[in-house]
Amino acid sequence: VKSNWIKKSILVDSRTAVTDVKFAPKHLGLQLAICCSDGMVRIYECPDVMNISQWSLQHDIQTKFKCSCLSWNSSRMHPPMIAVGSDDNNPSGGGKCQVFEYNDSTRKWTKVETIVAVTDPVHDVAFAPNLGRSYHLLAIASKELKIISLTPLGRDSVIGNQSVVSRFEMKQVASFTDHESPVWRVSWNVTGTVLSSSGDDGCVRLWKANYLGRWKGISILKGDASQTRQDRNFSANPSQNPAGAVRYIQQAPVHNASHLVRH
Amino acid sequence: MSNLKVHWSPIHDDVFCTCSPNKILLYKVVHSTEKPTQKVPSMRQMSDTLWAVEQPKSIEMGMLKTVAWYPKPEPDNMLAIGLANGRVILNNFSGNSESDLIKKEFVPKHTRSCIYLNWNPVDSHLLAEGLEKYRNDSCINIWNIHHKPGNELGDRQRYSSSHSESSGAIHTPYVEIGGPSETTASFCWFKKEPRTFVTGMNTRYLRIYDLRDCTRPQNQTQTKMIRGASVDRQNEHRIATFNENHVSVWDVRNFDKPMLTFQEPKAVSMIRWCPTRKGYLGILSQDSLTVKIYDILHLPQTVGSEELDQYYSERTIKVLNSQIVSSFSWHPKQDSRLLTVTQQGLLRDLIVQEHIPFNWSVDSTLVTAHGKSMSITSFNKDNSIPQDIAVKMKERILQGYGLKSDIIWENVYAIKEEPELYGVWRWLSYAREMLEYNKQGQTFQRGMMGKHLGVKSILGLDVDDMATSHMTNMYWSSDFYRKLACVKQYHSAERSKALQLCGWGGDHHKPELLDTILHELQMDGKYAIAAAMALFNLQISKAIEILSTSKGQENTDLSTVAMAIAGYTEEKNTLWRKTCMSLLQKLEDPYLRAMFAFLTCDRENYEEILTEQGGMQLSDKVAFACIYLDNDKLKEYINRLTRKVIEAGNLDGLLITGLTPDGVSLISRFVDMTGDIQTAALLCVFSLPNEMSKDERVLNWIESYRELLDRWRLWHHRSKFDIIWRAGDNFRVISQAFVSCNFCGKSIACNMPVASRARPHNSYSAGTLTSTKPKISCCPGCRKPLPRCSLCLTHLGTPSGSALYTQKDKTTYSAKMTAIDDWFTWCQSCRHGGHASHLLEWFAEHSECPVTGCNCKCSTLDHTARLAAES
Repeated sequence: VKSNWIKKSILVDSRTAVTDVKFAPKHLGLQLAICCSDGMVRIYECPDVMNISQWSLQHDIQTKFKCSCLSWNSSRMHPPMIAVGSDDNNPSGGGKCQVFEYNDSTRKWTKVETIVAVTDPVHDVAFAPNLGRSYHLLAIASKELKIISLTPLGRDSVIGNQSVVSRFEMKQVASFTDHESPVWRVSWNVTGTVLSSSGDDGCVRLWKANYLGRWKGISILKGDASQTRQDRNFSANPSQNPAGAVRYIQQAPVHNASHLVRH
Repeated sequence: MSNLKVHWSPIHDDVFCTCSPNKILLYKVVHSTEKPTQKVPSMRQMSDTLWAVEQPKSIEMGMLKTVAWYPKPEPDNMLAIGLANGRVILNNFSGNSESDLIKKEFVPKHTRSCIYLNWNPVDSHLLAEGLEKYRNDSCINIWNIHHKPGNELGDRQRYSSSHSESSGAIHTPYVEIGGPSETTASFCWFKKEPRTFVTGMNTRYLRIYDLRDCTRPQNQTQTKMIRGASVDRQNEHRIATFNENHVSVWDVRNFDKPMLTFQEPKAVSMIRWCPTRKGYLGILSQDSLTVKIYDILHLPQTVGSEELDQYYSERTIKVLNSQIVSSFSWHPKQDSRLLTVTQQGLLRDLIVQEHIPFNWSVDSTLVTAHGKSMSITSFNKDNSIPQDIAVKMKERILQGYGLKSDIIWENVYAIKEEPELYGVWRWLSYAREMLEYNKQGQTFQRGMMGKHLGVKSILGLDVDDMATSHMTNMYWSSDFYRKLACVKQYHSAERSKALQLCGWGGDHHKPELLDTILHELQMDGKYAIAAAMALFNLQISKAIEILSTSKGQENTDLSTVAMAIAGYTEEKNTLWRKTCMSLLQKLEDPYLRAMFAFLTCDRENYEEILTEQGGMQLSDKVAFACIYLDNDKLKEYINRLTRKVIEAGNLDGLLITGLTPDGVSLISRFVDMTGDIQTAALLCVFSLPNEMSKDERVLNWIESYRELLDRWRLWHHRSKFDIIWRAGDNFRVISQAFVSCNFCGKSIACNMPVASRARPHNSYSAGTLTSTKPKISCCPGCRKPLPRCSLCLTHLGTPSGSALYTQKDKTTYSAKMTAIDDWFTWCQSCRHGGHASHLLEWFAEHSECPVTGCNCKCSTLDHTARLAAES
């Protein structure tokens, strides 16, 4: 069935390049976070899901660094949380990843953590789907791949100012240099138990924790093995395959394809 | 070897040459599986799988300055070779001159060194040569290779004569560019306008010439960046040049100043645009171990007064460890393929990898994109990788895990391969049994009604209110041939309950119950467990019988143990004891070890059994403790065990804690460790009603699991889960959707009680169906009729959910429901509708709305129906 996409709304507040856009987890309603290279993170909300041409700017957060990527935390149990990464090349700028949390009483996003362990440019961040765990896992793609765990420790009340800041116990649970080159992307599977990462070495690597919480590489997908090189020879002929056309190669059969359709 | 250059053939995909100042070698690329078996020295590795085989033919020549590969397939592998004396020679590797072009020479008027050679990519008979500065001669000669020696006039004439004069040199160029004592540094043709080219001249000008008017440049800019002029074949407006350690990118439409300038740490030696990948500019610096690549997305743009940033990114390509790169060449056709040669002459064939985007589907398949290809990898049934919990959970639910609410134990059939989860389901099913039993008897005390209990609450340990238990000296069963001393046991009603929960039967007044359990265990082949249970219940001859009748692989072991036990004696320091001790070392089965431990240990001290780490089920240890420990020791033991199971996230521990705050902490730890949200949510739901049902964590697990099922599109499974959840929680779901009357706007269902109140109740039960029909087809609020079915034209309306169906006689399941055929439904778009059955019939054959004049394609708007049609 052919489907057409129709442009419903344009968000024009950004003055510099928008570097990442992410929808909020479902339980927060229809919200959208974007980050820009001038350090602004904006959060939009579409109050009426039946009319998605109406978006209102709800919050803007000044991160004070050049943002490159962001990720929502999907936990239902904890306040809304966003991690923002920066690809600023200057290592003296301190931690290149910040974590913000929405405070219900002040109705503001506040910075709760800066991950000081990461000073190299960050290309991607991803919160693992929380799925009932008591801690959060954050994967950071930088010069190396890092996995940080954030365990909420409850809240610190500041008397007088009424601001309440959540505190976390932060721990680096893994750091991998296997790509031997910058890591560009990270992504979690649906349960947050397998992490995939890709780097300049042309490989997608998969990582998984054992029952002791120790992370290990479990698989490497080489997209550019000899097999794909033959494809290249084939597609080199522009008359057969116009440049830019995407070719679909199914390397493994999709299992249970039929169950995708239930109604 | 230091000045080694490398060039891919513009014609053949697997041919390249390397040039040193006196030799040109031709190589053919072969796959490592195809490489010649005999070890020839002229073979070099290029990458993990590719080898370069040196061809026997080569060109040896002194004073070699520069080489350019003829861009047309005929004659094969022809090179233009520029020499230090300015001569240009056309040659190929075979040396035989099947074409008259081979061995042709072009000689400049004055002898000086050749700087560059450049074939026109379209008009391939034109060859540009750059020469060193000379007082009164121009610096750029463009030769026409079809010129006949001596026939200096016929510019465009093809040399068609059959006789060849391969020795004849051509002295007059087709065109000369540049006045006397001008210099040139670099040159590049444009391909889209093949008569134009860009050249860097006089150390300060970048000029664009058109051959149709060579007297003056068409465009020029003053800059020092005149070396290595290179036109981007993917975007011919872009030119890159360099000088010393700066590289500039120009746009010919805005030629005044460079659009971009990069500064390199060292002097640049060559730059090349990638011919296949838009925006890749390869840069090689002197004495560099790496090739640097700038990925230029777009040139700087300005929007209003603000400049858009993020227009390029840089990458560093490592070639070989600690070898200085001498030259590189982009493959003319294959994407981002880069051939490099180091000063030592080692070759390396690389692919500059794109950033690989990828994403997970909810079904644990990973989609990755590599350049122009996309691949899907599924992790559902991959045996090389340990199966992830996401895959497991999906498989389990498809097997019906957590959907069997009638007989709870049946849920384990879906998790046959995961025996570590059996324990908790056993507890759940025993607890449920006990609950049912209590409901019938209504005898249980102290607010424990209607809960799935743990051992701790049964014994009253959680409220520190432990019922007194009486100590009894129990005798061993009398059928054993030897008389044995009594053993102290403790009994109370609570302890019996706890034993029941552990699956030990519990009631010592009903020995036949124990026999049944033992029999079941034997049927399952668990002889050791059965024997141990018999022994702990002081039925020593029963235990021996079980062991000796066992069938299976380890039965020799078991019968040995049976014999050993048969010789049991209570005297200490006997031979029997010593032999048992040595036998004990060899036994691996934890239950057999426990049996010996029980027989040989001091009465009162059972630590060895209770703290055993090997593999006794928690329930058996707890049961044992409930029989043989006095109140204080039992309390201490249970508390210790509770701490341990919470720390370990051992689900079996729910037997002790039940779904109390302790139990929730335990499950939380389990989820942290395994990610098994499914089992967590199921435990919370199946143990309803419990005091923790409003706990934030419990609700979070349930909601997360429901969301997961939704994402898997297992909506039916999710609904079943919801039913089990709500049934257990005694939670009434209020109506969320109403059908409102067109006239008065009130819900047509919620007013029904009012309508029924208007008439005496019994008139409905007495009346026939026909008499109630007019009532249901109009709004009970305003009495206006409901809309008509667009197909049968009768008024809509069903008695579903209304007070009309409170008749006492209709209590059976099917009679309470209104047939779904009579329900009304409508299109959300055109608002036309009718009876469900009529509409189904209609849309089986039509896609348009049944109402005359309405063009709404109702059935195609239904997304789920569309999905079903696809399958």
